[in-house]
Amino acid sequence: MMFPTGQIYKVHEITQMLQGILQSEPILQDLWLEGEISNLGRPSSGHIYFTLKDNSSQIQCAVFRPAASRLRFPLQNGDAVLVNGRLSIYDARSQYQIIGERVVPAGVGELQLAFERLKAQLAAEGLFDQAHKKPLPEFPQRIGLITSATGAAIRDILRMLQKRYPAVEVLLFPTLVQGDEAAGEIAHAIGCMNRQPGIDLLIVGRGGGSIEDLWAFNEEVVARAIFESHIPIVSAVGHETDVTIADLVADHRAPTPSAAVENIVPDREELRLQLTAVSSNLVRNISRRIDVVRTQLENIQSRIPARHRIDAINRLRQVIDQLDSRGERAAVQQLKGKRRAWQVAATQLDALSPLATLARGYSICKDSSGKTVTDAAQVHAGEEVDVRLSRGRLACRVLKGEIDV
Amino acid sequence: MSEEISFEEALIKLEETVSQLEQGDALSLDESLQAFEEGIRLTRLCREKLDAAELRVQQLVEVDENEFEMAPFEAEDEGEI
Repeated sequence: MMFPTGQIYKVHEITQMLQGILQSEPILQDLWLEGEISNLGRPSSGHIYFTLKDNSSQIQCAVFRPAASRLRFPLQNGDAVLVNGRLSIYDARSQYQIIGERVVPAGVGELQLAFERLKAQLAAEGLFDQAHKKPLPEFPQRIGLITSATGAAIRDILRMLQKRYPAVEVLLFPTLVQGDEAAGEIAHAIGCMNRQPGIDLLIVGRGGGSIEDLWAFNEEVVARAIFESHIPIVSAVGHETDVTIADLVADHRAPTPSAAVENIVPDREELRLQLTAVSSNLVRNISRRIDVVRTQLENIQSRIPARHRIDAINRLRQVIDQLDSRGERAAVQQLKGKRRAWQVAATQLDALSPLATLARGYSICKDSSGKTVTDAAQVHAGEEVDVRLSRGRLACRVLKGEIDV
Repeated sequence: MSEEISFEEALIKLEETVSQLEQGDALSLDESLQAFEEGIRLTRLCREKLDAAELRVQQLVEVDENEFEMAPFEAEDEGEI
């Protein structure tokens, strides 16, 4: 008769111990398992149970309700799938099983797996870091386009540029955008564009499609080419929901090709409005400036020679004459108002001017020393005086002086 | 007024002119008027450039390894992708 000498365990304790061992192994806590579905069960609880089997083995899978409700396709017996989840022990039966978080069809699943792996790797290398993002030029003049010459993307982009801001030159490098060759061609095109002179910006993209169609934009060679580019790159892969690796590496991500155009060039109509605002700003400023000068002028009117006022008025007239286009009509009106004000000011000044007095028939008499003669006692008979008229002057000799009493 | 400066350059000059004018008293009346005229001329130039802008599209054709030629590009009306 043998008696136990060591510790005696309960069944559930062993299960607990094994559970602990499983949980301490990271690989088993997040693994992808490939196999075929059989014995699919969907009880009313909302959980999904099935057996995943390959040629020689099988394992139980449980997908609990929250994860089950996120499944994107209906599971069927016989489906080849990839299950992502953790290994655990169902203690009631001491049976190990997969607790599934995600179940995807095997074909697409491989792509998704590759995507996740590459994303993690490139993220670790820092290819997505904000620090590497280059700013986009405010007014690109020469835009490089890498996409299919016959696709929806180029049509959308050209149409949008035509509408918004046609003041650019587009240089297309046509490439395949799906299929096995696409990624290599796109990467090659990015490199070539970087050796062309004067390109401000690159748009790399295509129209929408399935994840397989978009796959080239998830390839490492494209990601690295985008990262290496010294020209800023906007990715424009036409699928709003799926973010591609290219989107993550690009300096700027646009959800669609036409959105890319909206993001990179200004809108012509908005620019026109801005220009109108600038014109009125100019007019406001110059009007204020003229007001200031006019006030100054009025303050010192008598000291300003008439010639200068005429110059300033002529100058204004010239400016106004040049402002005849529709856009500056308001400016012209305002400046015409100014000119009138100036002319009034000039007329007032003229009224005070001795020239106007002379025009009315008065004259100015000066003695030989140039002093204005205002008193008959200032000069003697026989003395020469200079008489200034409105037009011209007279050299005169005094015959006789009479002093008013 | 077919001046050989780009829209962007014209716009930058315009901004400079406006801020010059905004400094107001730093300029003589004559300089102010000059700045004003220049500003109006530039807004007109910008507008002309916007109105006249025509989208130019070319494609790069690789004739040999790393040797390229430019060719005019005409977008096809219909495409699948």
